[in-house]
Amino acid sequence: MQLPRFDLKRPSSFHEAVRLLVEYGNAAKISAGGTDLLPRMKYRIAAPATVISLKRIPVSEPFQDSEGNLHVHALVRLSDAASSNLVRTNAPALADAALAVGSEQIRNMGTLGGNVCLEPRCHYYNQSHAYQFMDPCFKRGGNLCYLVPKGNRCWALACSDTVPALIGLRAAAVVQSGDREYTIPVEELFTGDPVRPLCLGETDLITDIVVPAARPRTAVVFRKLSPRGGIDFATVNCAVMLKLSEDREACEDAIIAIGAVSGKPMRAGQAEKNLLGRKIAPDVIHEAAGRTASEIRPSMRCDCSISYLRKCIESLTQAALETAYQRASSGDGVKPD
Amino acid sequence: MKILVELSVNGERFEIATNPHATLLEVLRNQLGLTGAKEACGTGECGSCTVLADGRPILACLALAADYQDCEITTIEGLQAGSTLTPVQESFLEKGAVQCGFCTPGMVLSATALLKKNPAPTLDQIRKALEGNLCRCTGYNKILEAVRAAGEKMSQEASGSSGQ
Ligand SMILES: Cc1cc2nc3c(=O)[nH]c(=O)nc-3n(C[C@H](O)[C@H](O)[C@H](O)COP(=O)(O)OP(=O)(O)OC[C@H]3O[C@@H](n4cnc5c(N)ncnc54)[C@H](O)[C@@H]3O)c2cc1C
Ligand code: SF4
Ligand code: FES
Ligand code: FES
Repeated sequence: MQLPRFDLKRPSSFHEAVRLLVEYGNAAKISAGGTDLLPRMKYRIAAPATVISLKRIPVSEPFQDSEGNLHVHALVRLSDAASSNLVRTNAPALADAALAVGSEQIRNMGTLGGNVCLEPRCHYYNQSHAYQFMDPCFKRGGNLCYLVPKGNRCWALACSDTVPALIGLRAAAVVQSGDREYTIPVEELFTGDPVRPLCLGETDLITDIVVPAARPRTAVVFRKLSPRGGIDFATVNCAVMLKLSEDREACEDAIIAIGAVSGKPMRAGQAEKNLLGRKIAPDVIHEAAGRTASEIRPSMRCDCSISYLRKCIESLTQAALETAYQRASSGDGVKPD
Repeated sequence: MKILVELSVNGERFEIATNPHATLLEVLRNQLGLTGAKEACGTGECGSCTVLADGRPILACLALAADYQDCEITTIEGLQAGSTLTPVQESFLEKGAVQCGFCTPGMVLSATALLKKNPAPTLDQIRKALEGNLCRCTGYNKILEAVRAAGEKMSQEASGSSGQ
């Protein structure tokens, strides 16, 4: 399968890349690892006149600042993020999520920034359009949807594996915007509209992901369910954060983030609130998982039913909460699997 | 307009005039005549186009040739020295891990990269390392056996040579 023709730019810094984006505007697309963009181009659902490859930009190793915050370069390859000792000890959920992406080859090419910005996906959209003469759907600028024909919006799913983990870790993205730099919590990056999924400006680029220093008695756990266990996008994924009180019995802080079921990753706000101050026990965890499953509203999709999805959400959340409790209470709250 | 890319493949430097939209796979197969890496899906799902970039398996079908100028590419053709097969290649033959052979170059390269990092992988580790390499013929069991046997062979060779 051939790529459509394009002009290739290879900037050597984020500054230069942003300048090129300003110059070429909508006609240009960014390729970091290219594992999301290039398949879309081969399928002819993206055909930028210019591709701006970030491959020449030097990548720095993950490092910890004086306050213990972990800085991970956006162009770090997922396999390097997963095997970095700093990431594994300070943010094991991020390492686990990176390791859950695609395959060894995909992880050796795909970057963390690209994974965060992964285009929302749908079974109709993410397939070859080379010989399809159907009218374009919302996501290709048209005015209809093949998945929900009577609907008036796009239902594509935000499938990134690292994003729920980063939300559980309360991570932030450092964004280069023109000559300016700003920081935005990863959770606030997403609009929820699969057609325009990111809150970033058209010429903004993520340069780093910052994970706040690990807290005591706190564990963040990532879990993924997919059809074959490998190579597939998540049917559903989940990250939970649990912080225990000083006696390691009650819940002091909680995050439950569910991905791949909607246009953006979802938080189970009610279930989280309900955990606060409660003494963690099997029935409390069970209740939280149940609440999560009834609170999260999965989008319509064609590979499984909503009721099946709810069961998946419940069991995944339960497993993640159990592990998080174990780790947070045993003192090695930040140790990886 | 063509661009000039400099690639380092199997220890040799090449300067190639090609399209900006040429993939590494297209350059390897069509311009360098290295047809070991195969194109099946072309979109990242099957691993038949696997080559090593600085020793790590990547998908040549999703790699822009221009993006891989600064690394050492190894294809299946560059794995062996002369006509001696590597332990991984030998084990694939001995264990019957090859049927149609379409997935084999990718499988062998992925397995080679794994065993270099981890000479005694568990079955789960082998499965994880090969999750991006699909095979429609063998049912995978023979491949897993072959990788395991190759690991054993390599550690025996290593301990044998250090004992000499
Ligand atoms: C077979 C297959 C299986 C896959 N399985 C999974 C999976 O299980 N889980 C999963 O999450 N993903 C999966 N992916 C998708 C993809 O490979 C990964 O999400 C990968 O991390 C994307 O990173 P990349 O650098 O290759 O992205 P690219 O293709 O380079 O970029 C993706 C998008 O993000 C934007 N972008 C990239 N970097 C930046 C930046 N620094 N700032 C702003 N915007 C940026 C680009 O504009 C582009 O549109 C799979 C892909 C394939 C082909
Ligand atoms: S959900 Fe509908 S509009 Fe969105 S990508 Fe799929 S077919 Fe297109
Ligand atoms: S041809 Fe490259 S992954 Fe299938
Ligand atoms: S031997 Fe035929 S695809 Fe693997």
